[in-house]
Amino acid sequence: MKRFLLLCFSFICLALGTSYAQQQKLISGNFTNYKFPELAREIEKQTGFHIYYDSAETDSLEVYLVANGLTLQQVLDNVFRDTDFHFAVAFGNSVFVSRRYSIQTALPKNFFDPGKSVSDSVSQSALFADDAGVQKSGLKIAADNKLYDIGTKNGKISSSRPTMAGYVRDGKTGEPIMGATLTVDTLSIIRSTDQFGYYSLSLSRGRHTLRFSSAGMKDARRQIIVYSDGKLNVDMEEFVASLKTVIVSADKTSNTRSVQMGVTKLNIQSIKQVPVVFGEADVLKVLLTLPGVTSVGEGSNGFNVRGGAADQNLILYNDATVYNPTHMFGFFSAFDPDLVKTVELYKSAIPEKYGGRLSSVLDVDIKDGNNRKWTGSAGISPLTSKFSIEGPIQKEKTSVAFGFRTTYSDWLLHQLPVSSYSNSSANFYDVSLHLTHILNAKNTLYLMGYMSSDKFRFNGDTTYAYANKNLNLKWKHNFSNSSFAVFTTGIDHYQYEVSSTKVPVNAYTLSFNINQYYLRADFSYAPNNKHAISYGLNSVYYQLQPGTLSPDGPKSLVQTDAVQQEQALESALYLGDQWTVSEKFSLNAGVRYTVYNFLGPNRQYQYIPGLPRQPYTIQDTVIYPAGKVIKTYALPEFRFSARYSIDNNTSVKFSVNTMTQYIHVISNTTNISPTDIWKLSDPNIKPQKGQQVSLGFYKNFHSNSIETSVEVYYKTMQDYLDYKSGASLTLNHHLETDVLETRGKAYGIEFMIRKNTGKLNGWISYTYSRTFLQQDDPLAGEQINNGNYYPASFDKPNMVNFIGNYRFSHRYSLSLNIVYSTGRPITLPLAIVHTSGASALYYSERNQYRIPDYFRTDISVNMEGNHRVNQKLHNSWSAGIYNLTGRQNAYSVYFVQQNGKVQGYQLSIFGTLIPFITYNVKF
Amino acid sequence: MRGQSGKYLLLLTFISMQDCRKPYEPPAIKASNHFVAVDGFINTGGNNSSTFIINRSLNLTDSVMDLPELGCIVNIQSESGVSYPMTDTGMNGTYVSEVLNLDPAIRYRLSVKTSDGNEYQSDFITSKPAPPIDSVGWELSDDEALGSQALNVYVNAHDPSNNTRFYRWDYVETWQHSSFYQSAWGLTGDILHSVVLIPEEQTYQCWSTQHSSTILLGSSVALSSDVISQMPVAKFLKDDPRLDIEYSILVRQYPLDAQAYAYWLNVQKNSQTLGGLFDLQPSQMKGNLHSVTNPSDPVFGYVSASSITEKRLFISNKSLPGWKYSIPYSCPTKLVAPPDPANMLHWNYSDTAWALYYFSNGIPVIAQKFCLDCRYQGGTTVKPAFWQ
Repeated sequence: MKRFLLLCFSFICLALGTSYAQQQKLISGNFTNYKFPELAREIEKQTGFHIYYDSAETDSLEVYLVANGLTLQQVLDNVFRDTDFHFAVAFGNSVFVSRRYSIQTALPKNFFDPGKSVSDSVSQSALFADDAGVQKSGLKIAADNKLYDIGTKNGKISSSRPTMAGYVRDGKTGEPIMGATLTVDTLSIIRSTDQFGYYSLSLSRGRHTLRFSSAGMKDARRQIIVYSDGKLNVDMEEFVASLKTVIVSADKTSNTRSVQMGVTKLNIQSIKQVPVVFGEADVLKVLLTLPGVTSVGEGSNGFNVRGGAADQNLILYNDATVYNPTHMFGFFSAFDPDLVKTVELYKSAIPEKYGGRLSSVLDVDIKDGNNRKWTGSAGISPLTSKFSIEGPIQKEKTSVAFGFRTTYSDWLLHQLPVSSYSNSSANFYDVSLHLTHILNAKNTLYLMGYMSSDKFRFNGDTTYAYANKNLNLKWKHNFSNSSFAVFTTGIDHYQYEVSSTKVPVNAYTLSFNINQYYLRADFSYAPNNKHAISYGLNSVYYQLQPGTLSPDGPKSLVQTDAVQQEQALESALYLGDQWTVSEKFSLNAGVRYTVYNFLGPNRQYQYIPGLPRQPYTIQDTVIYPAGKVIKTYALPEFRFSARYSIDNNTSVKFSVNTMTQYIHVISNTTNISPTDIWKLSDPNIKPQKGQQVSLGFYKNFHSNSIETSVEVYYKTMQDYLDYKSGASLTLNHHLETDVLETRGKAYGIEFMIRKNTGKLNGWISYTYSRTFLQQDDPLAGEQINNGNYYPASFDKPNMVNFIGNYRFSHRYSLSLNIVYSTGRPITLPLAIVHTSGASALYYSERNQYRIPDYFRTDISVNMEGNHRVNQKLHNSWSAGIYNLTGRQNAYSVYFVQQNGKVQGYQLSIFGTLIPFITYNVKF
Repeated sequence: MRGQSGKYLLLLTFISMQDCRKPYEPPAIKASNHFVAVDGFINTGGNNSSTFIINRSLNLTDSVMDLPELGCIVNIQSESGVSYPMTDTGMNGTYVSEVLNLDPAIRYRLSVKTSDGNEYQSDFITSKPAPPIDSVGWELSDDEALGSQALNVYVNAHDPSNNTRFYRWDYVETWQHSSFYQSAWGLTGDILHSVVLIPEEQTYQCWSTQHSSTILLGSSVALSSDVISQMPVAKFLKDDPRLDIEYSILVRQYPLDAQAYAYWLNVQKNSQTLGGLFDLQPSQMKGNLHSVTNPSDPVFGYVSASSITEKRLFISNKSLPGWKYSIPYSCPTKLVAPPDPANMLHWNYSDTAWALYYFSNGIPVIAQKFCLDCRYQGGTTVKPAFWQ
């Protein structure tokens, strides 16, 4: 019976909607400074609708609107935005305008099923339904207009401002939506959902309208009556674009309204639009087009943020630290795009929750599996193929997401007749697995596993291999609506290996690895809408094997040589508060206190005080037993940021950060394939410290569809490691004798214009940034470039990026990338000097020259299959050309001695234009 | 068809990765980088002359081996204003002072004026006395990495006053070697004569001399007393040609100050090979010379002032059991037509690459000259004065 009635109800709804849609007429005109009754008359004239309203109430409502072919729905939405007016369309051509209460023109979803939910039950006062008939789904109409009770009417009144909380999920897949924006009618409250899709806010008792928006989703609205603390979970619907519908922009107002500055958030949709080599959507490649982000060269491992080194970025993949985020010389990022949910890059105003690196935090979040049905996708391109699947193991309770990606370039290389290729190989794969298990409303468990592996060899000589392995377990526990905690534990592993077997006698394997074990407890507490407090404890235990050389094969005469293992414990306590002082002004302040213990077993050299650290100044060797605390560093870090909104579309932000880093990388850049040497801080190597001040100005135009920003920053660094003249880095048993602690400064200005909506979207950015280092300590034994400031090896002053996507129709789009940057600095050998019987190379001052500028243009055409929502397979094609101009950009520049002469070479891997085609299917 | 085009696309991709290496010669490398380089030290040892070699650096791709700088005006100048001119020997840019008795208590500097009018000066340098070399010795060891026996020459020194601390060494080595065959015959014009009793005409025994080609450095700063112990100087693998008969090494010891030591350490590092995983990072060689004319004009070298001590060591092949060098070429002999019996000593063999080895029953046995004259291997037939 109930079912029958429901069916009838839905039918009526649909009928209403259809008749409305058929009669829809568009409204045009300049209605600036109109009073509402005047506008109503104009609308009635243009559309034939009749509008019912209370003229006494609407008299004071002023209209600022220029309509150019808008629907009735759009006009009224615009007029009533941020007011407590509501409107409803019914009976084909009648519009009812009401204040505070909306009129329901249909019955709520579970009107006939009152037993289903107690706290979500329908308020008796909701009598009539409103809203546009454009929405086809009955569920949507009901949910949007239903009045939800939060808490219980007769419940004990716990506080004057009850808190409500809940999860925002994708209605189709049940996956949490991270970063969905939540606004409360006319109140100045803005909340974003966290990585679990969770939100919490406190409201005065009474009636409110909540609005939820998120990229790629339809806005959702909930009307609530708050009695006491309560829950509200919200399902949002995917935005299926139909013609002539206004597209809801991604983070509509987040650019000017969030306190965070220097944060860039990308969702996978915008990442997938950018053409990249071999048509594989790539997280890192897209990051590199953002202002302030650059890489040392094509195919280098990682990226540089605001004049920082590549090792100064904390790269988190679902809270696991990934040491090498790339595949195949850095041409692919090691994150499977089909498993990525969101990517956030913090360039300044780094939350106090994160620490341990100086420059930035890159937070890549992995998808939760669809907890309603099984879906998947597969893709194929000339070099790689990938497959992903997700779905519920137990509906609404346990879900899994799994992705696998591999290359089959190996067999291909062997097909080639040129021996230098058939003797080569290139292999990689990555696997991600994410399990989500909802124990109950208060407890959720997450398990994540990740593995990536790379192996390549050119012309049968040196083999390079590296791998990441990560595993973690998270437990989220909600104490109450206003407070929750996340406990995380896990293992991160990174290793690399270089081996050469060309000459059996000299065959060697050089291996290296890092293991870290961590435990984190992160608490969030929002006592009211003005404050969001976060605090917690992080602890990481590092275990580093900084290099082992061993013979490879029975004929090898190579002697085993292992640099001693290092271990350390880094712990941090943090506390922060996000304080919304007023609608216009908010700030964020935090402190993080880190304690670092360098632990035994270890053998430490002691150097003669007052003399440069050199092998010949080693005075003593001290051997420490296992577990012994050899050296402790304790340093506080401060984070502060503030936002002031000048008006709805304009804001100014300011931030100050201090950071500490205990693990360092020294890059050996002189050979063909750069290898990195990681080193923990120890008694001789101090932690590096950094401070950053930045100021940003943000303005949005055209209803926030065009975002512009200018950010300036100034950074200082202490104890950043650079190599000494003639340093030997590989297998160095006393690396401290070959490095110098430098002082650094970096500054820059970043401009960005970004258009999120419309047929043409994308961004243009320009960055001017400099990074200089200085070593003028007379006790260091050497003053680089006479103690003057010199450019760091990743100093790249000018950078221009253009990312454009033009949508011809919903099925065809064209993407274009243009990337330009100044070449990185290099120290050149200039001459050969004969002295005392030896021939020595004379090098220029450090980093006084630059390799050629980098320039690349890529183009791609994307073709989507048809858009029927319910079809089984959705397929898409992407074809394009990488490096359209065929420019030979330098991957590395190196010098070798040949026949008594020194010859420089520039190696460019993609020295010509490269066509590609990729096929993707979603099921 | 589809598979075919797919494969073609893949091929294209990889072929485009081919030939990705091209020479890198930015303008800074191609520009003329022929800068003045000064090599030598001011000898304050008393009753000694100082020698400097002045040449120019070479571009990376230059094919010449050496660019001596001739015609310079070179002076050793004392802080008190006395100048000691050095004369151009006209050989490889070598400049030599008269035998001087420089006061070690005074600071000196070097001044060089090149023929193109540029003037270079070193800083004023405090002289340092060289402590004596205690011993130069050798020992045999088994080099596991090379799977062969090796001979190491080492030096020992100490400074009782603990003032030296930083040391540099170089050496001059001389070794005796012989030709494949010993011929008793010499040739003047076309007349043969016996050289058995004329040692200065023999071509069987030679002595070759060469200078060290590596930078040898040592320091005792980390030690409680200024002692250099068993510092390796030279290394020979088994059957090294230099140890075939008799070998002599003259080790010279220079005291350095800390700055000079750092300079030579960088020279040492910059003189190693390039292009591999274990390479050293580039380094700057900041010496103590500068251009007076144009301060940005680079000039190489570190001028020290010191006395010098030296010690000579002889190693005979007799003390190296099993060490034998074999000349890596063969020396066939031929019999040729006997000469005119009336004029036995008249030599008219047409091929001048060959010479008389001996007479076998009146018939000349000839061999190629490089088998009869050790000078073809280098060196001189004059026995050095110090030879034992």
